[in-house]
Amino acid sequence: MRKIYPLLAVIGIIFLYFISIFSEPTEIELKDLWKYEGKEVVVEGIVKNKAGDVIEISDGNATGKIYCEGCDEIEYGDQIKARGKVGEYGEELIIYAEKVDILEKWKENAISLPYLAENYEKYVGMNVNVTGYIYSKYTGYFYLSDEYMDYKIRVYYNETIPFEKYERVCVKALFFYNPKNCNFYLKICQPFHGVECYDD
Amino acid sequence: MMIDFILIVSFAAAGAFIGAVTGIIPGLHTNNIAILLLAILSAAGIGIYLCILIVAAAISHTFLDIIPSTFIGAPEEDTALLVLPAHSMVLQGRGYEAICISALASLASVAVCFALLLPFRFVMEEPINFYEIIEKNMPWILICISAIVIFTNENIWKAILIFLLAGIFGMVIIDLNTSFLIQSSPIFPALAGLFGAPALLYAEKKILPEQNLEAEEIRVKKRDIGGGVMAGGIVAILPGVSSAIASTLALALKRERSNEAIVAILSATNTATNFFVLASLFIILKARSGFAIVMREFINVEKWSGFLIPYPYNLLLIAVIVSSTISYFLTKHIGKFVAKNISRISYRRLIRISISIILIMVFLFTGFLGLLIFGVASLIGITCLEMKVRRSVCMGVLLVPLILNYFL
Repeated sequence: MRKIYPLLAVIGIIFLYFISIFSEPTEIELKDLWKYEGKEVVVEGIVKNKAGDVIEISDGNATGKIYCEGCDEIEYGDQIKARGKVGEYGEELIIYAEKVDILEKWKENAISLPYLAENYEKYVGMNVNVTGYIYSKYTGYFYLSDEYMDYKIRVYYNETIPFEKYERVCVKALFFYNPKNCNFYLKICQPFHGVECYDD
Repeated sequence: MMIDFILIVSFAAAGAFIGAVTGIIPGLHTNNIAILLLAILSAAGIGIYLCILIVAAAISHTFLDIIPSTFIGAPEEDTALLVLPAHSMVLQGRGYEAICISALASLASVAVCFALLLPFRFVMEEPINFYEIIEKNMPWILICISAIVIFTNENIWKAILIFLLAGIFGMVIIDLNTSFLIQSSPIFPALAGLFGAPALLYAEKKILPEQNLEAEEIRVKKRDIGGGVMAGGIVAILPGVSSAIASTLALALKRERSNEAIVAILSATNTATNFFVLASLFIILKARSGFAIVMREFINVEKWSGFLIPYPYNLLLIAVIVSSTISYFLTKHIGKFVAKNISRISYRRLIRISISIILIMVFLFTGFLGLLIFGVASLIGITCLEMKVRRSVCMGVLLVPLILNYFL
């Protein structure tokens, strides 16, 4: 037998092994997850939901679930990138994450009120950091507006805010939609939520 | 009602022709066509007819993919083990006979699948729930298949060596991103290298004999078809386990290994796997292949819980009947055409053409990385032949990653 064949095969496998170490798995859109069952993939999206070790993310077109143990620092609204194998989880597919990177904390991504109004689908049910101006104050809530007062949103906050009318602020809160009266609103309800003076 | 029936038959016939095209082009799978249909026609509102088309194409593909495997040695996952026996028959001037055996075995397999459909439903789900038993014990079943594949060789140590070499190779390549012009997996270049290239390079004859086109008395053994259907049925319901494993399982249990028997078993397995993948979609509500996943996007799949076959599964079964009937004649017709013309080419030239086709397909689907995988796989395949170890041992390329996936 020509010993050169197995020898070359082993060299080839070693070479392919090094390629596999340095090559990244395919970065896919969440709507294509089903095509990659059993394969390693990379996905990116904003955290929409968290239940135990299961994180639900959205990339704007579709949602997908990621199983991640010890990902306690991930919060609603964070932009994350996950790498892992696609597998079954009950009746649906999930990515069993080997690595999850937070690309942007929701707090760091300050968005304007008009931007939030025009991209509401992306943010409903998530933590947002919205910049705007105090429009009016009431007991238990206040209104936030943009600089031209084209957009206004109610912000529920049980504490008294130390800001005056027309002062520019950053509101860190959960963004909700109330289907009963077709209204969007913000709710400051977590220890890491709040209202801060906007600092350029 | 009549118009509906005509539409069903028309879409099934169109699907059969699409499956014929994907079947005779090495490396192209019906899953690619299904994904393409999903991208183009998802909003067209003809979901059920597209599903009929996809099912017909998936069944037809399993009939026609014998042709490139036999004449140019370009295998797919389900025909990998078939290349050597089928190509050996070509070198004996019996290529057309191999095609006829395969077509008949596939058709017979569809008939047996229909006969076993109702028992399959009751065995896999309530009341017997055999699916859960198989699923729980799958790693051990795979280990048993591996053991049979290895220990039925004369030189066990050499078989273990090749199995491990192929297995490590499989572990290394399984997650590589090889998609080039279309989305594809590294399995195609790996199998083309392990099974296709060595079969062509090591063919002893230098002259391709005139192919015998009189294959009137073709018969297939009932137990070969039965074995293939059983293996296809077991494997079709399991996640991540491909028809190649079904083929390995069916062959591992077969003592007599004539070329004709191998072609019949593997063809029956191949068709039965797709038949039961469709059945699994309605029985256990799991999509075990790309085409089944795409179908789930087009239609609402409701569980088959009683005796009566639910809508739209009944329509899809009509598509299976139409497609398999058309595919049977198409396979024989195209096979006869190829067999008639292939002996006009010198064998040396045929090998060059075949290897060129495989290389072009590997490059188009998987790029330069695919060519590298093909090269390494060919070296393992040639080593297997040099060591006189059975080719099924090379299935370690799929078995080892699958087994480790259960344990790691």
